[in-house]
Amino acid sequence: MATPAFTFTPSTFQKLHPAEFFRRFTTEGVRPDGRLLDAFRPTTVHHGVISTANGSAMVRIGGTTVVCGVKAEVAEPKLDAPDQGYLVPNVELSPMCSSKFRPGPPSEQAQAVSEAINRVLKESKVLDLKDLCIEEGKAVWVLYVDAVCVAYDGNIFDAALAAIMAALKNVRIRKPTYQEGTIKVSGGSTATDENSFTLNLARTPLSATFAIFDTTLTILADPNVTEETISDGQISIALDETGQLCGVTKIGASSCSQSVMRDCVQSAKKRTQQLRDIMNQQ
Amino acid sequence: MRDADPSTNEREFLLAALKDGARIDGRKFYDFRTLRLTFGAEYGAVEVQLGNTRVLAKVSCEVIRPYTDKPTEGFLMFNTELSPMASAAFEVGRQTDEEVLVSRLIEKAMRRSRALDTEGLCIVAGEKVWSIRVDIHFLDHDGNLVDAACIAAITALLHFRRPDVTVVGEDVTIHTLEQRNPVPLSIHHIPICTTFAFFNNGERMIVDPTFLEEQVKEGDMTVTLNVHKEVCALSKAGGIPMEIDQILQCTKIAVVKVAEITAQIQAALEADAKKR
Amino acid sequence: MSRLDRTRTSAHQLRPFFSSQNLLNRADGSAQFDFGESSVMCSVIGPAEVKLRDEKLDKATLEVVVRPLVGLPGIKDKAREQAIRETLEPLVLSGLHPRTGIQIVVQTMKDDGSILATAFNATILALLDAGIPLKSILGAVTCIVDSETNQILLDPTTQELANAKSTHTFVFDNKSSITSSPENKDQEEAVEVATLYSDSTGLFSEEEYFECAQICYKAVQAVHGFIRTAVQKKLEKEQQQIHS
Repeated sequence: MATPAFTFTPSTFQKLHPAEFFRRFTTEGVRPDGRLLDAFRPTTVHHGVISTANGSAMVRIGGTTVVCGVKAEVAEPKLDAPDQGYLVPNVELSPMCSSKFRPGPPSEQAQAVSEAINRVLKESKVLDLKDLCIEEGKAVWVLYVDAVCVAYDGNIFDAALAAIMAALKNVRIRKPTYQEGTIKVSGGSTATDENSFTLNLARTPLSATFAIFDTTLTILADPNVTEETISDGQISIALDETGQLCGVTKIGASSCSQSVMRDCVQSAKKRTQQLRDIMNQQ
Repeated sequence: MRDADPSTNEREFLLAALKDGARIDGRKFYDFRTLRLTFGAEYGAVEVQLGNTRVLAKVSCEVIRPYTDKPTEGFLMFNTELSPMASAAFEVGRQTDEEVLVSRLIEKAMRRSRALDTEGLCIVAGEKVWSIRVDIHFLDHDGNLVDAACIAAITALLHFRRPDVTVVGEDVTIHTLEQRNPVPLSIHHIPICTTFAFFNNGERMIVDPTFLEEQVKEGDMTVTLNVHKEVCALSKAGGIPMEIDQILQCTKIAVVKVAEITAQIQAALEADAKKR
Repeated sequence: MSRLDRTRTSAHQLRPFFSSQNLLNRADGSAQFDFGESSVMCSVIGPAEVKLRDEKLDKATLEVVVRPLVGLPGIKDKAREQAIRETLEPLVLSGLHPRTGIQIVVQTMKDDGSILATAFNATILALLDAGIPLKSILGAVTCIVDSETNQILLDPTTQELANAKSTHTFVFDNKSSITSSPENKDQEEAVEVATLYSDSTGLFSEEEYFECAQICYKAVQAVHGFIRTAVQKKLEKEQQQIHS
């Protein structure tokens, strides 16, 4: 039998037929980077990486790195909520982290991720906004939470949410005094428990994201950027420390059965517990 | 996607018909298309249909801090972003020339003419004022977006009711709709735009051009008047030069049109008020 | 057991549907769908010219633009654009129209809650009106878990949404549902629902999530039926006009 006319090196084959190349791996139960289908990449969390911010953290999930900084500023409260401060989360995906992002206004992906995280923070009632009140109707704290991706290798949602939660836990704000229309914030000496306060987080939602690969109906945990490009959809599950769900999203790809969703929830429970241990260790 | 230019047949037929004294859709030269006004269940929402051109206007209000140099003035904002729904030629994020013209004409006709009393929007001088926002959504483009948008905007402002407010010293209470009936805005006059298109070397003037007529026109002019025969705005930006007599004749025609349309708007508002 | 929305008596009752197709002249297809006082209009232009940088060699490029009723489009609308586009990608037979673009514009006309579900339904009706080839239709519905009564309420109004402990939007196509045979004679035949799109926020348990899915699945059958009837009626009217 004659040898086939064309033979490809694995990297050439990957470029020509990415989905087929991938299928060869998943049918054996592994992925090109050596992981099993349900394995998450090694994750590290570092707290307080930005000394000039009120709170900060850096999270690495595989090759995706997100740095989050929280800055507290004094502002006037919104007229319909005079005793509440507010959170302004923002996820930034710039050309710095990957060449697939163009310079200019935020891409649809960045906006969608920012909105998803905003809803988790707001609707799971992570923080009681009344804690951010300084003087009702006059002054409240605004927390600008900026999660900047410095290296993009897929799964920005998990990394950004983890970075934001770790940064919020790390926040320390100087206690202000309100006198006759001016806010005085004591500066100088290091922040101690007496002259500053930390945020009282009601819960810490963390998430696990899975990619849906339609051709072989496989679910891959924690997709990297190549897996994200060829996959057809995504499932994200967010849980808090008590095991309550804080968010479930299934978007793209053909219909997923309930048993698939149940498996994802179970896998997410284990993963978020693992993430919590990593976060609390360091 | 750019709009395709009309075919030679369409263009020639339209111009020949105008020379002979007829318009393609059978209207007389100075007739508006059938105007239909539909009010939403909420105050301040109105959909205008001018022939096949459809425009939706929605008015909303918010309490904000006024500018420091104008402590007793409220705000009136218009948003006339054209979406690809009205026409594939409108792109997201990029303003076409037509879009710029439409938004500037609305600003001139509505805001600069002081149709809405912005001083009446003050709640507490220097601290709290009403900001009225009019969002104009273009749903279907069959010519004359300006007139339709103007009618939609002013009708929506007339239809709108803002929450009632009581000020006792420093305390401001904004009543909910259940507590007290909402209050109408104070509108001084009703500006209505009338757009003319010119053909046949400036000899033929028609009112309310359709999309095809707009594509073939030689020039255009928009006159904004109210029932008291006051000119609020007049815009003739480029196009074929017209004689002064013709311009004056256009304004005379516009006076009649504006009276008709204002009567129709007021009748519609009354009929809607009876229903509530 | 009374809802904040006094027009409905049951927790599992949807608001009255209303739809209208072929409303706009410029668009290739258009439709309006109402859930009670929530109304969304959708227009579809395509298959048409597409910008070179967005052109796909083997498929049509879907573009979705979402416009809110009040204010300039923000991140919420961008997230909705992504949701609608990603959900429609597997449904549209885009391989039949390679190197073209299908542009979908979604405009909120009236807002009384459950806007995303209303938008999904309006979009599928508009795609049908435009004659875009589809693998299946879809149907969407929203439900909430009320914070006081812990009841699952279908198709919430804005007032009811403000009182929600968790909000769930589900989209189902009209093809996939797996009926699993019961293990013992006592169990009912469970219908294992397959979701095309699912978005849930708030605080909820696993059981609540899957129960919401089941309830929404049953409700969406009514939406599918309505869509079918609406298209049928439209075609009958067109036939009449041709023959009269």
